[in-house]
Amino acid sequence: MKFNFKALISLGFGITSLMLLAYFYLLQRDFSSEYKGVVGEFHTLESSFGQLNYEILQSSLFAYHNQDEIAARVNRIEYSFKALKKSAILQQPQYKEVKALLESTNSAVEDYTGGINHYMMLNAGFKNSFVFLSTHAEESVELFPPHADIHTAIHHISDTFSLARRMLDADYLTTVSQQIDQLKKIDYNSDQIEFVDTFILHARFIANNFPDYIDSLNTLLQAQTELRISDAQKLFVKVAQADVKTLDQLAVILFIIIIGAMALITLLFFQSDRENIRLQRLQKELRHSLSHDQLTGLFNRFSLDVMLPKVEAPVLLLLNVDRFKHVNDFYGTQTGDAILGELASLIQLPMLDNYDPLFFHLGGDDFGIVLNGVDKKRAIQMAQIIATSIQSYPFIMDEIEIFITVAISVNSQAPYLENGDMALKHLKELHNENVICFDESMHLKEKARHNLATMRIIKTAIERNSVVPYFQPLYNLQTEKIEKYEALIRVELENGSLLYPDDFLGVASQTTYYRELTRIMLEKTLKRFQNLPYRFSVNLSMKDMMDESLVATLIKALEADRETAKRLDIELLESEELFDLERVILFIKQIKSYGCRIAIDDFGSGYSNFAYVAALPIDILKIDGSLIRTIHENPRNLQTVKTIIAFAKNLQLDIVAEYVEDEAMAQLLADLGVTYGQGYHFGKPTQTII
Amino acid sequence: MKQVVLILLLFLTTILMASSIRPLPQQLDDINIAKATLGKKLFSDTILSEDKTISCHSCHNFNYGGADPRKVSLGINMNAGNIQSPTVYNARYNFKQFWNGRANTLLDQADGPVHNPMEMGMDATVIEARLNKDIAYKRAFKAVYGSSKILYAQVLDAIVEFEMALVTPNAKFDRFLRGEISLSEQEMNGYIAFKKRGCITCHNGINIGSNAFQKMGLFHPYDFNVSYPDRYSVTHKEYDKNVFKVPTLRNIVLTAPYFHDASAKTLEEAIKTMAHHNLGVRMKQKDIDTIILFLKTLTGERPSILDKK
Repeated sequence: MKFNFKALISLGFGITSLMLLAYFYLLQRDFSSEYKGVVGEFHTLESSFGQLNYEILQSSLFAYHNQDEIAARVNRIEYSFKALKKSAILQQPQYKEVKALLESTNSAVEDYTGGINHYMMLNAGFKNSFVFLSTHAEESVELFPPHADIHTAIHHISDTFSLARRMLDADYLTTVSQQIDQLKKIDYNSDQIEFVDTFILHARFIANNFPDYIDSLNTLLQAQTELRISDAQKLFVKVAQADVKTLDQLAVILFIIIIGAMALITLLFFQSDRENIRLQRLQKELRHSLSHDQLTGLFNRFSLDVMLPKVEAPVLLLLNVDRFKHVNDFYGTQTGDAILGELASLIQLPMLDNYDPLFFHLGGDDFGIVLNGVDKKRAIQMAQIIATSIQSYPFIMDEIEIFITVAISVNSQAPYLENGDMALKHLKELHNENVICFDESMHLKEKARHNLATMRIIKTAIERNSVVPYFQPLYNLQTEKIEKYEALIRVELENGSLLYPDDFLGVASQTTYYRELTRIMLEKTLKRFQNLPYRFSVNLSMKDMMDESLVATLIKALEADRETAKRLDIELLESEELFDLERVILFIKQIKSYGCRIAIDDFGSGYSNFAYVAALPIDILKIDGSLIRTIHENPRNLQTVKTIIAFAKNLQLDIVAEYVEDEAMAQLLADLGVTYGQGYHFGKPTQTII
Repeated sequence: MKQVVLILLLFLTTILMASSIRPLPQQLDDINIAKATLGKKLFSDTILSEDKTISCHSCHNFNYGGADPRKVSLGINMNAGNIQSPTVYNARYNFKQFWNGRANTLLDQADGPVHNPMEMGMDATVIEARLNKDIAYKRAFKAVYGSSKILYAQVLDAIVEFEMALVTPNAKFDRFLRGEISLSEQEMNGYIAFKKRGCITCHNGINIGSNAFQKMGLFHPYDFNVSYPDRYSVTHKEYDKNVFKVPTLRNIVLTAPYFHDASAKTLEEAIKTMAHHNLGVRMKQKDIDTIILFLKTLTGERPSILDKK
């Protein structure tokens, strides 16, 4: 979020500075083009004035002169002056003075151009009069006698004009009017009169207009218009320089903003780069911590599961610190952790390098070393070296030397960890050894240990009266009622959990506790069903019937409550061993005499013997759950079940199907002619009876 | 006496040495032919006048040297104008337009008669509306200006472009000035008289006139009639009364009648009037005749744009 905000700011900064840059560019482009335009017009005006003065002088000197240039210059001045006044730059407030100055020059310019037009008009007349003087004066030579006074007069007047014109001075003409008047007083003949009249006309024209002509020429040549325009130009340049300065300042500000934006972006770039690096490192660390142990830096348990299958011929050395709990308690966990850390580097002996060693800290004080392709003998040797080097190594903690010993198991058989653990357990019992190699016999020992533990549990359970029957209902598929319950043995442990027959009955059957368990079940079940209207069943194995003592216990129980015994069914479990048929039949008959009925349990599993069963005087056949469960998917199983049903019906046996888990199954079995259904669909085994 | 003659001869030398007339260019290199051709069409089209009776050409007739042979031109509704129509030929070289020089440029000039209620009596929007209805014009304008709508400014621009092309080069006198031919003896005498008698004082430059104003009746007063728009109507200065633009003398034999008031029907009359009022002399018949011969050498070729398709 913070980063986005910064990015947004720098984006804004960037866009703003770009916009400013564009604005500045346009501003300075407009300004410079307008400035150039205005300065250009000023310059044109200036040069036009100069050129005009030159042309005007020329036109006054030359009798005949091409006036195109003057006309063009005058037009140019008018045009430039108008363009100047209209120029966009001068409409801006800061140029108000310049514009005002130009406006005030307006009439001066008009006077000037008007003055030129007027001057040109006079000039033309003037020149014509001089043309007359020069071209027609010759005629006087023919018209008048050689020594007539008129020659002197004409000569004198012409001379005066010529002088005045050259001097551009009207003062020379003060007496010329009198001289002209004198001419009129003479008598002329008709030819002479026309000449004299024309002469007087032109002489008068010159005499009358000369002062005006000189004035107008001088006015033009000394016109202040040019000066006033050049004042306006100077003022303009001065104001424009202030504008240029403003533009310069703007450029500096813009430059600073752009540098700022660039710096900000660079900073953000570096920051995000640094953040990126940090994240990458974090990611690496996370990946490392997923596969590595934090405390020691070795691979962890998880890595062992991943890496072990990849090793070609693995040998696992499992290392456990002896009495590490004691070390922790005595020196504190901090010291304990430090020892584990040091131990981790201690076990990485260089001699293991040939076998691609992998080192693991499996948690607590357990370490693992996986070696590849080492033979067992060499592995044991190396384990011993490791153990020896550890026990001779002083771990110095707070200047105290601590010595520890380790137990190491060597194992090359899967499951590696379990086998190694088992071997370590064996080793711990040996006390004087610190290295052991796993071998299969350890499994037997393990089993014995397990058996002993189970026996201990059973013993305790009997003592604590925590052997209890659970009851599962049997549903009559034909009458659609619960008619029977099967009693199933459970052991309630101290922690509240249940032990099922599979967990302990195998072990128990090898011991005298078995008889006791059977007795407890019989007694408790009979007692329970004393006042209940249901039939009920208990389980016995074929082998049980060979046990005279057990049979005696059974008979005794039946005798004790004969009424209830009538509702008891005995479920016999087939056994692999072949038993004395005669004795079994005898037993059954004996039991039946109490009103008990006999069921064959789990029929159809494994080694069911039709002939054997047919030979027995039984009442009920229970079809094995494994057949019923797959009846839908497996047509062969359906066929088997059908065969068993047919077989049972022939013998007029009731049929019980176990493992009925839904209505569809129940319906199918009912249709096939099965008498009873048993399973989760009808009820789980519970302590209570509904 | 000898001194006098010497001084006067010096004057004469100055007169003859000055070459103050320049020939017209033989080729124009600043004309957009397509635009000028469009201008030519507009110039002769009565669509530009209110009642569709008058075009520019009505008063600037190419058969009369780009001027009007009538005393005054007639505008829409037969309105009589107040001054003799000057030639449109070589108008680009006029220092100002109209007799009193009230327009500085051809563009300003062209705008005038179109709006003048006595002449064409139109306004810009009506012209635009009319032309935009005409498919042929729309196509032509699109070809020249690239825009789909015809604007009044474009109309004027095209007409001005056409007028810029109305130049009459290669007059006999121009060819003489360029040294290609020589004038006949009589013509040469006319030219010298033209200079000697002072005509050239005002009629000089490339257009042989049209580069200055002059008072009608500089030496002997000329009738002043306020109905003619003179320079005074522009400047309101007393000395500008009866002042007009000096007209061009190019193609002068084609553009009778002469003067702003059409008072001279022939060149001879015009020369006599000018000699009396503006030169203050009585011109000898010999000079008049030769000057007329000289003036005839000022007729140039018909502008080539007129014969372009």
